[in-house]
Amino acid sequence: MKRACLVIGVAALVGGALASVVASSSPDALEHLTEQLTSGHAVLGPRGPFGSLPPPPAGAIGVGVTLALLTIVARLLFGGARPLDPRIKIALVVAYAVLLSTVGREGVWKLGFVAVVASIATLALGVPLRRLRLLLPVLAVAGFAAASWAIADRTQGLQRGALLLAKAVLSAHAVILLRHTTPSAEIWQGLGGLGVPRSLVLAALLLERSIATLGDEARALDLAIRARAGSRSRRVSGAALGSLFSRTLDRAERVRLSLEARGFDPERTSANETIHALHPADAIFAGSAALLLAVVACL
Amino acid sequence: MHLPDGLLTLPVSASLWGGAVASIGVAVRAAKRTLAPERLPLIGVLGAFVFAAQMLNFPIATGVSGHLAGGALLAIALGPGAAVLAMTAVLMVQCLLFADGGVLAFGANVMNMGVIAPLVATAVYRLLGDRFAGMAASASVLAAALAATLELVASRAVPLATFLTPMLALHALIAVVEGVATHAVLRALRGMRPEIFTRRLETT
Repeated sequence: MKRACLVIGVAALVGGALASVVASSSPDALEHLTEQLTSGHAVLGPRGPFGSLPPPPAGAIGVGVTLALLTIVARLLFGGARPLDPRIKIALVVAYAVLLSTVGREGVWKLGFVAVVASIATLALGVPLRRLRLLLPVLAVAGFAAASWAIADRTQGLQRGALLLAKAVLSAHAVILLRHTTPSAEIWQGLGGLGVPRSLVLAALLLERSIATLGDEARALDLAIRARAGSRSRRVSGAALGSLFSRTLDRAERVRLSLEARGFDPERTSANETIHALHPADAIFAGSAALLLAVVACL
Repeated sequence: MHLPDGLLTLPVSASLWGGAVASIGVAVRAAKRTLAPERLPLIGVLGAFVFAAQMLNFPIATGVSGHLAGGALLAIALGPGAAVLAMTAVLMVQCLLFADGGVLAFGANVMNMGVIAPLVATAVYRLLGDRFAGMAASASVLAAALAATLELVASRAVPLATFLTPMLALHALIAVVEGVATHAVLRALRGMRPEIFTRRLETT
């Protein structure tokens, strides 16, 4: 099963990369790409298969590189070994998604480059490969929309569909990187710091902690159905789900009692404890990274 | 269907984010008013039920099976306020921990599956009564699918002519699964925990 997921995942990544290529190049992109690949220009040529992109202005590159260096220096000088504030990470993922939604074909290609750089910078180049099964639902839905374009219009539709697919994959990749670099407790804490209602953050925290337990109960029920009933019927499956729901309510009551016994106060939990002011290094990093993203998208 | 990023335009996403924030605000206020603070963990654990329920396959016909989505069941059994909060928590976890559904499209997903679906399920259930609980669940799935289609069309993310038929056909099948499963679960629950239907979560 894992191997099948990996094969599908790798195929999806290759598909996503091809989608980016089609989305970011001219209408005769596939022919152009095939020609370049067979002639070796895709590897050896000065601008690869994306020859239609205009060369970026040197000044903009200078600004981008300076900002990136400033960011690194600021983090090294003032940030120490502290992990980046989760609020900054979440805000950057949202900013990336916003930028992604506003750019066209060329912008998608550039933001795809940012995704690769971010993967390298966080030592997470292999993570999207390992977690590619997470991209499957995204690929299914975006692929559905892309296919409807391809059916409606075989020339422009293919490009448009590929653009949608590339944007969906890149945005999901940003979330996967966030998850890879941030413990979930910090993500909930960051959301609390960004103004998400405490009751909702607490619900998400408890939900995450209960998934494994209730998942085990669901698997045990499934095993019991197969062992006792032999085959599933609607009545038996309904009773199993009803039983799971009933057990969930009992579990919730036990959680409530145990939390109360430990002096639970919904106004003060690890997920919504007082969020400190941003560290200067983190603030500088946030500003620089946002500017860098904008510069890359506008190049 | 969890909408990923890239399909909706920024204005459509922003409008739906606004709608989702307002809806969550109303649900949180309602929960604060009617739900004792120490009962808040219940919302999270109920959200975990939605995840766990998706691990159990539900047979519909020979060779056809699916799983419960859960939004309608929560709305019917516990009331719309608790369902909105629980489904929002589920969508938050799916979006940020499993990359299922886009960050920018989160507002749209909350509106479709966390707000519209439970509200439609509650409305149809209260209108038609207990015997039509399955139909209420099916209606909630179709309403959410219709809302998603309208959002995609408003963003010009899909060509309506080629997208509408497969989208509705797919969700009609999902609606049948949801309706039959919800009906079966509610029937079983009435035997096991009849008190759930006489006093809702908000008033316990």
